[in-house]
Amino acid sequence: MLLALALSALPTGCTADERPSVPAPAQPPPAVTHRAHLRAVKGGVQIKRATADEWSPAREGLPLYENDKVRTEAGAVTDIVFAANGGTVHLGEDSLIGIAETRPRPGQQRTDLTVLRGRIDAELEQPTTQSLSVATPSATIQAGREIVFQ
Amino acid sequence: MKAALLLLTWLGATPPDTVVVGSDESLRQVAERTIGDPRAAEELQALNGLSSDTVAAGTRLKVPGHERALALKALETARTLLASARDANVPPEASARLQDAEAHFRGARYAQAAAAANAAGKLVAAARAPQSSAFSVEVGDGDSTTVTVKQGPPVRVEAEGVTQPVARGESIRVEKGRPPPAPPPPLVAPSPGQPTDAARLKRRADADGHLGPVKLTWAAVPGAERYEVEVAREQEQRAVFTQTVTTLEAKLPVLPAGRYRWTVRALGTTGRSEPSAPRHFELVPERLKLEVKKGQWQ
Repeated sequence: MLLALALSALPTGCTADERPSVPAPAQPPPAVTHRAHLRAVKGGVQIKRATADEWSPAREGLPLYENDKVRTEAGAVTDIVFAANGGTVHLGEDSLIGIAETRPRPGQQRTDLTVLRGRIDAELEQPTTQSLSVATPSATIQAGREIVFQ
Repeated sequence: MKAALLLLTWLGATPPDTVVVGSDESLRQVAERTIGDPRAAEELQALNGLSSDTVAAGTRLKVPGHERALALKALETARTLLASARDANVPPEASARLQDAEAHFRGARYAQAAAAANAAGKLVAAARAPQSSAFSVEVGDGDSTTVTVKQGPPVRVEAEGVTQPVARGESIRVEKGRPPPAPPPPLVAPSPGQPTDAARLKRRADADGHLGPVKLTWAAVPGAERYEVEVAREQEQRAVFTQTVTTLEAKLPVLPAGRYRWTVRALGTTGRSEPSAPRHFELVPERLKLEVKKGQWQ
């Protein structure tokens, strides 16, 4: 009787290595990193979130995340204040920039923002401790403290 | 507080100390005996208006008081600051101010020596202070990038595996698919021409007692488009006259009599040069000769 019970408890046609796989719990979505915020917004300034398809009007203090884009119309300007290092970037009129990813990748330079069109004026109050990296279609500009990823 | 005021009053009211020259005593020996430094003989000579360093026994000489100690302290601080900043970017004006201070000190002009030494120290300290970094990035036609550094340490521009530092006042343009070009060499400071250093310029006074004209000249600098001239009173930091010209000379407006210091910088597309080594001149009123014709009124 006991043997019969023990046999019935064993899974049929299945060895210990062939147990049915338990579905893994769903990976949590990657944390969205607050990279910067807008300040001194003047004129037509728009933002396009990384997850959105449409441009929407930007407003003072709006937080910016990785891969967000900001554009200014003619006569419009805004400042972008980076949260991590306090660096400030003044975005001139008729410009288009993108907030870069923060994840360091071996062999690649770290980038804070990408200028696709127009002009920025950047400022670091404490270049010995702060850094700012700007990528453009033709160059990468590194200011302040030098950061090297191994 | 009261004690400090009394001390100040006492210091101000006390006449400078005097000393009597002993028999067979040289001025160097007097300096060593009274000041503790034989090299101070030059100061004693200036302080007492002596034409040479020989002085008769029994002569009563003035010796410097507390003012000298203060000036010496300021001078030693400035010397130390400049010496310790030798490897850093010491503004040439700081060295010139220290030289002024040394000259004033040897001439027993202790108040001026202290002021010039303090000014030299301030210039070194200002040059050492960390500056914020300011630069612009512009993406233009054909995705070219222009980087201009306005202030602070150099920024690094990388393209096609080549990194190029861009220093303050410099600007470079990077074409897509090309490495950054080497920036043009920075402008060098112009060499001042006339008037010669420490020139004594006699000029006629106008109705307000101001003197002029004075013309400053300098040598051309390759790559310079303009020149910025700055004139200041010898003992003051603030400029009394600043002018930007495209020629190799500047004509100063009429100025009060006195000692002046001037520098000139070169300006161009690659930024501005350091100021030239300071030149000094003294403006003194010209004495008109009064000639009376011989005649019945002579």
